[in-house]
Amino acid sequence: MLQRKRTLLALIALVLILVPVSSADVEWTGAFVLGSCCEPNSLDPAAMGISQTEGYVINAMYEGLTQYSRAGEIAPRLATSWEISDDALTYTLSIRDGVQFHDGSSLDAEAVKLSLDRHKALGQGNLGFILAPVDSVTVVDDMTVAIQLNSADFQFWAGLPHIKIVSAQALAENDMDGDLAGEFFRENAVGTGPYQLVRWDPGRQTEMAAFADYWGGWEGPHIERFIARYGLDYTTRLLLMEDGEVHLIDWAGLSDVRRAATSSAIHLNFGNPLQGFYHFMKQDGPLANKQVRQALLHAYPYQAMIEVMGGFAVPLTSAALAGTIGHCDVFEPVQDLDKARELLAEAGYADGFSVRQAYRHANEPRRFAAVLFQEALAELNIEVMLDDIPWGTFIDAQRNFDTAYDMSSHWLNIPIPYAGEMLFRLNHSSLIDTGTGNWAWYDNSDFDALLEEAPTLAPGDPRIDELLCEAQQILIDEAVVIPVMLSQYIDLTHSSVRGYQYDPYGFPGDLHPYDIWLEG
Amino acid sequence: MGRLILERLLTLILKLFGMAVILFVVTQVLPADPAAVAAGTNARPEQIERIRAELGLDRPFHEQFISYISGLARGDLGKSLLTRRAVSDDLRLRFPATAELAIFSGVVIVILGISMGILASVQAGGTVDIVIRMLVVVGMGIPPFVLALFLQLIFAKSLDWFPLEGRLPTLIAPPPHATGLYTIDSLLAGQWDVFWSSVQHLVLPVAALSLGRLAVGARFTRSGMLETLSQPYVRTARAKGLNENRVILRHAFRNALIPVVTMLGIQIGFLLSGAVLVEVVFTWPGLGRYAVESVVSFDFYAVIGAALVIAVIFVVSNTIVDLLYVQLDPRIQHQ
Repeated sequence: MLQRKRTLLALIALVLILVPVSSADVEWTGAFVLGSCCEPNSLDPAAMGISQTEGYVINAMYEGLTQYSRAGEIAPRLATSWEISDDALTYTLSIRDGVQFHDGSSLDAEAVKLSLDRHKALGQGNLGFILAPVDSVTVVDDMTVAIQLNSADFQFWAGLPHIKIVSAQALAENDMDGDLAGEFFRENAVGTGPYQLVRWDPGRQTEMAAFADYWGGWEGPHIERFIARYGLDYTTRLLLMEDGEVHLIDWAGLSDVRRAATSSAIHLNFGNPLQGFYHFMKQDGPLANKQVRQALLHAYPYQAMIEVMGGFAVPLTSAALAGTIGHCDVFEPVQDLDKARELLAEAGYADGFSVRQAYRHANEPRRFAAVLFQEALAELNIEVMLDDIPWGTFIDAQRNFDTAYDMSSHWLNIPIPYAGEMLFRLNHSSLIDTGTGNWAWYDNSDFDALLEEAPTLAPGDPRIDELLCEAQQILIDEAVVIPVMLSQYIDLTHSSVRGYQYDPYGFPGDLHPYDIWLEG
Repeated sequence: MGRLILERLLTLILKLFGMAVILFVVTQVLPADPAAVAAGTNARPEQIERIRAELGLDRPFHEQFISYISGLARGDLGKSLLTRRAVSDDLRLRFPATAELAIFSGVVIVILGISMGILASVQAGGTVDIVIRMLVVVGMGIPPFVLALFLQLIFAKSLDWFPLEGRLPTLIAPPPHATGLYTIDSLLAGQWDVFWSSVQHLVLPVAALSLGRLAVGARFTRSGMLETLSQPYVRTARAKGLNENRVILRHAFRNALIPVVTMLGIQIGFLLSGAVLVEVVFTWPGLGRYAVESVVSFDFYAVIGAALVIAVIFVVSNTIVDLLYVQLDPRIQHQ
């Protein structure tokens, strides 16, 4: 009898080992609801903007050839392996076999080529620059694609995880007058991601459901539906979360944090995004004097700003963000008003002067940062007149030297963990008079040359660090910008949420719904 | 009556043209860059320029103006800089939500406001009148969005009688689109659970929106009724031994209606143009919220489109009021 039982148990064990994972092994744990203020403008991955919610929704339905690991390293996704030529001009990628799009078509090298060509041709969104150096995409065989660059550009490889692959079949069927299916993909989504679009009710919500044929398979606990709700104000989002009707609140404010601390149903999460907060000093009038700018660099109340942020901020030790490729420590963020006074006296401005400063409105930290600096500078007889203005007005004023503000403050974020990208946005001379960056109107060809050379080196070349470190040192020596802080990303999750972890590399936002499940 | 409608129609066209011209010029001279807003805060210069060209914002002012006005003549309100949809499509998506809220609120205002006004006038100085007048003062004194927050806290959060926000629960799909009004569409589709849920979701926003306007309606009705009740023809009707209800409703109320109808016409116009703050508090995806989002985003074509729709609503509601005058008092037609 015992022998028969053992045999039976052994047979059962053998069957469990040999039988592949079936849908019966999945534990669906319901619908995960994101409570967001802001609705995506488009579901087209080639037109992705900067909205966190847009990223959450698009990244749930689409995938890139590569992806960033949680440690910030490039890892396989739809491409299983790759080779980079020695001159860093040719990238050859092997495409994953057995991947299906949501419309039932299969992923192959041709689909990848069409997607990349489409993305480059549209050139929209905040990721448009990533494919700019691509000269051609060639189908080597059914499952191999070669990407040829015009010139070596490290940012291409660093940004490739953000370039999503769309269905070639949907692209062909929905192209209208050569619009590359732009109209179609604006309101529809056909990718390979773990969740597929069910419905987008504009003004209300986007609903996605688990894609049964997802190549990653379904095993263990997962959310069955992912719903992004829009237009929710902060109070409503919190009330809904307390009742378990919303599971994640993104970009929570400091007041939300205080409220969350009083509720056992709400958990607080935070992390360091690829985003820095800076004060720019236009090189004009007293601020054209390097000593004056250096005085202001010493006058900034860095520690007070961190305290005002409730501790959810990290000081910057360079104009680049810590943890990005090429970052190095070149600056100690400590307020020293005596040193500032001394520098101002040497520059002949002991009696002070007046400046106009602008910051983008509707944001508490920006206002705090401006007011704290205004108070600090008042001690140096520098009068700061503050203007709280909307983004459209801000950028319009900043593109003209005569109307540009003497000082301005702004958050800059970058899609790739590469210091050179942040330094470019901060102070590259090509951005002068475009309004989109370099509000210091800084024009230094040596600095530009360092930023231009670094990305032409092959990924991993140690000279990238050397060049970018030198560029960071220049910005501090010349006191071009004041690196104020890295303001941490705070979000709130309901106590039932499991498997969620903030991902700083998923631009502009990726919450990895495939990894999430609900408990209780 | 036909002439009146024709006159109003011609006036409407002229008004809309004038508004479109003024709004277009104002939005163009504002110190702002809508292409930069549409591109996002981290866009590169070439992306902004590409969007500027795509939306035709790189063309000279007069070309943009002629293109917009000629499009307008064909019913094309332009393209939203933000959603990249046709503004008319956006408005079609948003207006039904506002219309549903406005229709239910309008019904509440008409029925309750007028009833309370009549009741207060026939019992002038009595307890009912005092209570109604107190309610009127309270109703007129509380801003709708403050009332909305109170209603949410009491009836949604504490008592859990009604939903906190939205038009339907997150996990319920909207009924098949026919009118865009969930109550009507769910009835047409025979989806009774969706109908019941959409009615429940309407209760708090309708209450928040209608209390103040209901108070105004009650006040207008009361004062109109008090005036007509003291008229000689009312005394004559009573002296003839007519039933009191008939005296109040047929003789007094009908003659007190003109100022009430005027007030209701304006109120319905306001309701249909979207109650911004109430829509924000209740996450109601209506026209008011769309207009505000457009202004904040410098989405100029959307702003002009929303403003034109609101203008049409006001002109149409005022025209209906004028037509009702004629029905209520035939002497007006002769004048």
